[in-house]
Amino acid sequence: MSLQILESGFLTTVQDEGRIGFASLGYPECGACDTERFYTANLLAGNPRNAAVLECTLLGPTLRFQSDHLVVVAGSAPVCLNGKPAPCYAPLIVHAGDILSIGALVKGLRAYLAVYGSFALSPVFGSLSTDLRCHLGGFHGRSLQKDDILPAEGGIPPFPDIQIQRAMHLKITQLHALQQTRPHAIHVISGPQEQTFTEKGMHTFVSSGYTVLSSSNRMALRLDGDAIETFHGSDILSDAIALGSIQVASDGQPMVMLSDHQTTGGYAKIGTVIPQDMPYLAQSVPGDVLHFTWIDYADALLRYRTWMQHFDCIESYMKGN
Amino acid sequence: MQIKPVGLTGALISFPSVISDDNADRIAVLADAIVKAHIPGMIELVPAFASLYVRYTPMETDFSAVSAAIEAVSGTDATDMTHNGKTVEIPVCYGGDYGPDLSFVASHSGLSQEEVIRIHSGHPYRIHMLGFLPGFPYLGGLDPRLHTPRLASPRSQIPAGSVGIGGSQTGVYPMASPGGWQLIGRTPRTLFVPGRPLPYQSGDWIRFVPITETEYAALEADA
Repeated sequence: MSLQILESGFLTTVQDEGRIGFASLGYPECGACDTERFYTANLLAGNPRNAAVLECTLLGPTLRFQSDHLVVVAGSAPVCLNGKPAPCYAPLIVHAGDILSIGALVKGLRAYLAVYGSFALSPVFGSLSTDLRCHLGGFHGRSLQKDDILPAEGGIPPFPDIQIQRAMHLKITQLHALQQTRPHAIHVISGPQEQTFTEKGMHTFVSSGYTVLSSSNRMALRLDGDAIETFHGSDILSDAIALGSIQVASDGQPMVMLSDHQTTGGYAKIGTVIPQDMPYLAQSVPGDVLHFTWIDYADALLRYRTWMQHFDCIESYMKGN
Repeated sequence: MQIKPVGLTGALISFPSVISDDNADRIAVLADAIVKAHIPGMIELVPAFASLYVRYTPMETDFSAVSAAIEAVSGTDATDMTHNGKTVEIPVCYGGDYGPDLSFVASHSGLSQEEVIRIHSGHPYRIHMLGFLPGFPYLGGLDPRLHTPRLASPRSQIPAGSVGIGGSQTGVYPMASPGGWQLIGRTPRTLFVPGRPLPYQSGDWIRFVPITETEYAALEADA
């Protein structure tokens, strides 16, 4: 069972939750950038939420299925099955020979294709995530190219019609609820090097707009706006970097660390974006203007756990519980 | 020692902001103690020059519980502990095609190439942290005579195993990568294999052992 890549799209990689727990060896975590759509695609397809999917960037791929499968696309992209429009956020039954194409994203930057049963690839340290910089994981450690044959597990689950009905119902309830959680400003927990920045610098960060630069990639969202003032520059002795860490470079401009970030860095970090706001950053495109706001730890934790409950709800509903 | 939250998923334990063996000892001892304590919800530890990062899952625990657990085990005095870091020998063929910048490092330092090799391989280096690339060791203790500025423009591709000097640091590239360090030699030893354990970890020591081109070829053929 496999998928043949007819057109690769702009940047299509195999990603799961990431290579978690190996940062002390210097392994970047990688993994899907937009956890919200990544989890959703998997759960609607009947997979565990952290199963490997295809992350499509800007322009999705065109694939020919060499066997029968159930697939789900999550994201704002036009999808065609054998040339006819097909819905996102809905399980699609595809047969051997069918051609699925994911077009240019209408909104946002990334869409996810989940295949029921996921892909038959060899994990590296327990993960199928592609590490583009270190050339490991995923499909031969690289993005998919035309004529690749991507081995998949799966086939069609036992009761696809029920799965489709449940997904359609979810689309207008749970998924709608998730959309409502979109922030007007990105929530940031301050630190751990906030003492590097002047009071004015801390204020600049949350009162100015920052424009997403086209040099952004899966490692970092690079931003341009009012320079953030420091006392004595932003160099520190390198320490660990977390997903969502906001490093401020020597020129005073912030960079938010995304999934492929290095494990350590030598710029002071003004704060860390909370996990539930990361999907919003993963979908921002060059030219978007971002605003940041502080959130305290307790409030952020409460909101995080509520956000994660949405996925528990989707999971139990899809399972018929 | 100070513990601060890093977003919702981390606690950063900070030590005096210097690169020192004292910090390295304290961090290694504390890391061992934290691992042994099996803190609920903890995912991993990331040691650095002057800090130890503790990552946890906020679905199972929170910062106050994690920092309290760290405080509880942090009483151990590093001076009472024997640090059990091991010394890993890395054979290096210095100069020639393997170390194209050895002559520059020598002329910059006012030493002969032989003296640069003797000093560089003369003592083991502490691994303070791994980062930048999988298996890339940040080493402390480069002799000040060998401090050399980085290249004005980085090379687009440095071969795996290259041993270099960048400013006050020395290290070895575990995989091919772009890089701006002065390359003084190369090891035939394979340091990095995806998904396999590394020959060293933070807190260990690396000793560079000079070898000839013939020995390099023999070791490379064995690998």
